[in-house]
Amino acid sequence: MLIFQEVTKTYAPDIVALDSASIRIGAGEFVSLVGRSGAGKSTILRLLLREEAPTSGKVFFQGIDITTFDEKELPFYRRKVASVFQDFKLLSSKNVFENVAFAMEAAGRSNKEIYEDVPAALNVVGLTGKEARFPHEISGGEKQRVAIARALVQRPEILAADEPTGNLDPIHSADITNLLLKINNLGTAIILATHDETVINSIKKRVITLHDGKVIADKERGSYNIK
Amino acid sequence: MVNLLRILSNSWKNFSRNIWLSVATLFMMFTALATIGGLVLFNASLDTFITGLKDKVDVSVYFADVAEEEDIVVVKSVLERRDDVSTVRYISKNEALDIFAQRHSNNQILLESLEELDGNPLQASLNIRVHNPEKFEDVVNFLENSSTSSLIDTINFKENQKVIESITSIAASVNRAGVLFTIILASLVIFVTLNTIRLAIYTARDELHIMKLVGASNWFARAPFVVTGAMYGLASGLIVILFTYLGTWLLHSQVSLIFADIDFYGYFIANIWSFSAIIIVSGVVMGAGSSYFAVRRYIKV
Repeated sequence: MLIFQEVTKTYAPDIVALDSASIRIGAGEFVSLVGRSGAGKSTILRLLLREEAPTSGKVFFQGIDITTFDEKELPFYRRKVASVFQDFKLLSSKNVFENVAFAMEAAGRSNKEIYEDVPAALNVVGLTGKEARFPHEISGGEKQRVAIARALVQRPEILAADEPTGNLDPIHSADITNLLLKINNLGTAIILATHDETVINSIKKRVITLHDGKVIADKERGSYNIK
Repeated sequence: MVNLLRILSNSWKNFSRNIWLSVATLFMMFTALATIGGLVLFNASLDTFITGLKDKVDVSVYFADVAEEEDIVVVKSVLERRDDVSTVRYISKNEALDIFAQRHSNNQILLESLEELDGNPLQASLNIRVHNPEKFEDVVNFLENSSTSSLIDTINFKENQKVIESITSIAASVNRAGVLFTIILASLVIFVTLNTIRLAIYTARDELHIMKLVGASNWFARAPFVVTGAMYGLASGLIVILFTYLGTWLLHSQVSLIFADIDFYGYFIANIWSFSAIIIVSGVVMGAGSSYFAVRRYIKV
């Protein structure tokens, strides 16, 4: 489903964030990207979201080279690739319900679908009853759940999670990890970028290890192993 | 239709949930539109002043005693048919005498001297005003070369020519200064408004970025901000119109003591629809346009 083919990303003047990385991810897989800060984990996710374009190489999603998408095609692509971020990236002027609903509104879904799916998604992440709260009125763990609920309603093919537990305590981190596993069980492929050893070792799924922009290991049942 | 309602709903939420930002932006736009409204009134008063100035300039054609009233009336009607002539007033010998007597009513010696004379020494005349003082020379040349030139004794154009030229020059300078002042002030006002809106949009840059990452198209991310900008323009425009009405109504008696020829309140009422249209259209265009361009850099994700 997702192929990174010899992808290199450099930033001026001579910073190599990713160096000829080749990765293949199948439908429904759960893949963790691990490595130190600056290893290239977030770069892979930014390239996946087409926030940036690779310096060289190609990225294929369902056989289509995503680097060829123009401005009009990008929104449709991004609706299939949901994302969760370390800093949550919620819309501060919208409440919990509206934050989740926004993804559906942007996709042109009907009000009927929105009023069915949003409460269901909030129920899955355990936020029923908090629909009217604003981001500044909920905890970090709850914010991340809102972000996951927003990703859920998109019914994405892939969910890219960039350090989703980075700002959370261990208990909330475990909750978020379990939610991601639950979503994966429903059929969505998960790409989790993290340097949280506990999370990786608890998941026991495929682990791709990065170091200085290169893929140095790719194990089906990996563990956190950074030199 | 659903998307339009969503955009309007999101715009209203932008407006109402960032109340202090909205109030600050409204205040800046109010100031900008009040300046534009002031410029409209200023230019109207300038036009009145220039027209008043030009109206003070006239030329009198004095007819010889042999000219009959019917002949003078014919000359009057010929002049009135000219496009460059504004008004022509006939002053008969008797009316001229009455005007003279009234003007010099305090000078008994002069009045007694007049009575000593046989007949009325004053001449019948035509008092001519033109739309543009530069056209006086054309009118005078026409009279001097016409078939009725033998009836004409004197035309006081040459004596007044310097005054006429000075007034014409002053009017042109005032007009040019007014235009320049308007352009400069309006440009400043638009610049300040654009930057106010840009600052407001800057505070929403993260939100725009997030909207694009979750799959919003450019127009879906941008439209609520453009509509909110238009709402700022419309709301501040309505406030300006209300303040202008109240201001000109409350102050018009004081203003007319200083500027007798200028009636801001009267002008406002007579032109309320065009004035309101200028203010509201300016506000909406500035608000929506500024938002459109300010959002552009943050949706390139």
